Amino acid sequence: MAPQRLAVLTIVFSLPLFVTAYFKPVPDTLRETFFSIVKPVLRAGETVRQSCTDAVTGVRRFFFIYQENNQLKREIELLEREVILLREKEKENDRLRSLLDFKTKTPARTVASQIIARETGHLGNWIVLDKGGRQRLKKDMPVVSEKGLVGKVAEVGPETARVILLTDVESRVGGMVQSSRQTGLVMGDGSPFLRMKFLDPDSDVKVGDEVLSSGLGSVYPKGIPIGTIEFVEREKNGLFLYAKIKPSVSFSRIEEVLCLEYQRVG
Amino acid sequence: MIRRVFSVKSILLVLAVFLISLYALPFIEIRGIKPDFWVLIVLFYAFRADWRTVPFFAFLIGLIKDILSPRYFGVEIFTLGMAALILSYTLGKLERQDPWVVVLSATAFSLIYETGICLGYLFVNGAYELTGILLWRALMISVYTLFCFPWVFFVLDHVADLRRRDWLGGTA
Repeated sequence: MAPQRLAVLTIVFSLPLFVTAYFKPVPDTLRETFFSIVKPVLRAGETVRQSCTDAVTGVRRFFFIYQENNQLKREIELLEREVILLREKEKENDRLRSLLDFKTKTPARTVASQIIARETGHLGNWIVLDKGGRQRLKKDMPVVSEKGLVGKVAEVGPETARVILLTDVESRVGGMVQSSRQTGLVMGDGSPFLRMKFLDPDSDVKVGDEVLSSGLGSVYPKGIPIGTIEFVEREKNGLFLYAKIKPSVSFSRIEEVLCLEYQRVG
Repeated sequence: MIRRVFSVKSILLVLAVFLISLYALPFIEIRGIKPDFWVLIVLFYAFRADWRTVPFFAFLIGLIKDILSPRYFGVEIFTLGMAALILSYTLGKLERQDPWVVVLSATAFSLIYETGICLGYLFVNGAYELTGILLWRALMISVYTLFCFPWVFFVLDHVADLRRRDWLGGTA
């Protein structure tokens, strides 16, 4: 291969990097247009994928239904007792809130969306939603499912939006260990697990503790489940503890999510 | 020569990989590690269609990957393109039908691309943290991709019958 050809090709391959550096809207528009065009294809593909997953799961579950039924009955009994306790706690909480004039941080509006495409690799941890700017989705809106925090809206097109998942290498969330109230930074590393850094070395953080969003920062509201601690160890520098977290949400199985218009008060 | 890249069969192949990577790969993932089918079709193009135009083909595949990715635009194009450039150069110097050349150049291509992409994002994005886990996962993806390499080639050669020399006007 001639050196001239090598140089020309290197320049050609570098061109998109310069375009992104100096004309950011160009690739953004390209991506938004692409996803708007392929939206029907993605929606159909997701329906087929979901049907296949349901069929496989249905066959698998058929053999365990009796056992599962008994287990669920026991769980219902336990949960009914827990609901009574929680109602009492809720009333107590309301009273204490009004006493302390607690500033609430609640989402003003939610947008329910369906997932129409997903990619959860070692780098590309994202999903595509069937709602976009026309449905008033905005960049950086937190995204949750019934099990917990999913991620945040990274890009918004007119009809679709892309969400970066918590497991993404660029994801950062302020986390709080529910039992000890210790805060730290929850980060993705491309694996199915999360890492929680900067935990106080003297804190009582242990395996099995629930981690919630801390509400620190301006993106995520407080108190949304993130996951459960799998193991804890001291960081190499010895200054902090580090925890590995199993996310509450199974990112490859979620079908619908809620995007929160989060308005931090106070 | 460039027309080969835009043949109907190559477009269908790209479309198939697009759908497989979105919907079928979660079924064969192992602890979040999935084979990179985009790398496999670049390799297939290099070994079966035309090793000379593979950098151009890789440019287009990189463009698709960049459009699909929410990250810094252009990193996929650059990394895949440069890896394909090295592959094309190597295939021009060596005996392309030798099984050892095929295996070693595919291994090198996959490793260069998967680790290059990690370094590329590190270069363009300060928030990105290059960890040992990430590099380990890149290596594992590379290994998984290479494990799929002979099977995918077998399917495309014999089942989809893409081996015929006329499918892309091949010169392999």
